Amino acid sequence: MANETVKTFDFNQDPMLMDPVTYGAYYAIRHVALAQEPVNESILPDGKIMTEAQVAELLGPTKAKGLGLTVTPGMKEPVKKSVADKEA
Amino acid sequence: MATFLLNDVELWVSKLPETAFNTHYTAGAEFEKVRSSQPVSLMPNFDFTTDAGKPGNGSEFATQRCLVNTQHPTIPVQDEVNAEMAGRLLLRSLGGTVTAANVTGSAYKHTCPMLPKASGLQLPSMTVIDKLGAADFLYGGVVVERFKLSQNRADAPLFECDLVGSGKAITPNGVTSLPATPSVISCLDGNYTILQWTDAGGAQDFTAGEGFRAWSIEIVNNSKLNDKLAGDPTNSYTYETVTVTPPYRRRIYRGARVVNAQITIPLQATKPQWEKYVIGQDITDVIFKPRGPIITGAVRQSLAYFIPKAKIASITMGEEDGDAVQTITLEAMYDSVSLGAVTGEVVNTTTTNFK
Repeated sequence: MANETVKTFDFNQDPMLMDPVTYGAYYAIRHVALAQEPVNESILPDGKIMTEAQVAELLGPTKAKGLGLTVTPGMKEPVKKSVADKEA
Repeated sequence: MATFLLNDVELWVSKLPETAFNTHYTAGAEFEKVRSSQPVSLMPNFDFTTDAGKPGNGSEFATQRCLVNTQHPTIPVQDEVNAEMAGRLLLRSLGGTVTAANVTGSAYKHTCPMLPKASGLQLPSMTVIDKLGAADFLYGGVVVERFKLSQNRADAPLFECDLVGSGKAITPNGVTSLPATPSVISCLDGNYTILQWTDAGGAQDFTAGEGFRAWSIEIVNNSKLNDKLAGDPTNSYTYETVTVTPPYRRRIYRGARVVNAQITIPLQATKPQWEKYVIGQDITDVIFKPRGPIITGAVRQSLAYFIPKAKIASITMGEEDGDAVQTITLEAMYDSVSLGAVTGEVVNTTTTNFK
């Protein structure tokens, strides 16, 4: 267990070079970020290398399962933030 | 005296945008010959004022005429897409700063956003030479008014581009050693198009399953024409000892830009797109990307428009070869990252200065 390799997602490459799972995760994370109002630039994956756990955390259990990622118990779906939420 | 076939018209466009609006290029090496499926041979037109019908003239007919303005030339260019001049025109249609990056090996990507508001309203201009027989003119201050990518089924994707000039026109063009042939045009095969978006269900690939029947995306810059100002620069023409100096425009500013994007797919047993339309679901990273020959590995020549954020504006039912189809019209939303609604990308083997 101590030597278990942590799966990583290399988003520090062009999408044209990504394997299908990384490609799917890349656009799924971008969707989570871009769908927020205003755009949550801090979670955009471009240029980053993330662990599977980080990717799953950002996507939430439903999308993470869809991509074949490991989902930990208690993981929550991402909440879409809007300007209205902020003002409230 | 020789006469000419219209199809023999020759068209050249500057490889780079002008360093300043109306500052035209003068060396043949600075131009690329362009292939277009719509031959256009132009001669500039002008505006005149006359005294026809004016009280005191004594007649409804003119007794005097004054040359007051050079009209904007419009030059349509259209052909099968390519990652050479069509790619340059695509980038110039957006006008933002072009960034070059090595993808891998000999493949380079050139990307740009829309011209941001902080950079003003002047899109990058280019120099165009249009020549057929005596209709031999160099046009400066030419901008992209409209650029459209489209494809029907797996046919070769097409581009259509409308260029509009300031009216600066020099004849004859005076540029020596212009390229005799277009740059090598690599065929972008309609079979390798990427057409996808991402929604709450993940990446939606419209080339999979029943595929798409057609798509198109168009950027319209709504250029402000006839933006006349006192002190505008002038052309100078001298024939038979008479010299005239009609003004042309010192700028062609863009107006409110419009993005028109549509995807036509067959109607199926479920209607997920209609459902997303009704609830106003966010759609992100809409990719319209015709691709061509392999450069290296999995990387192909390509040019593309991306819509970072969109919603479905409407879905209309139709028919294509007897099949029921639905045409999805997208509304491109403002993206605070790129400061516009669309970004562009060209992938080829040019390492730098492709814009």
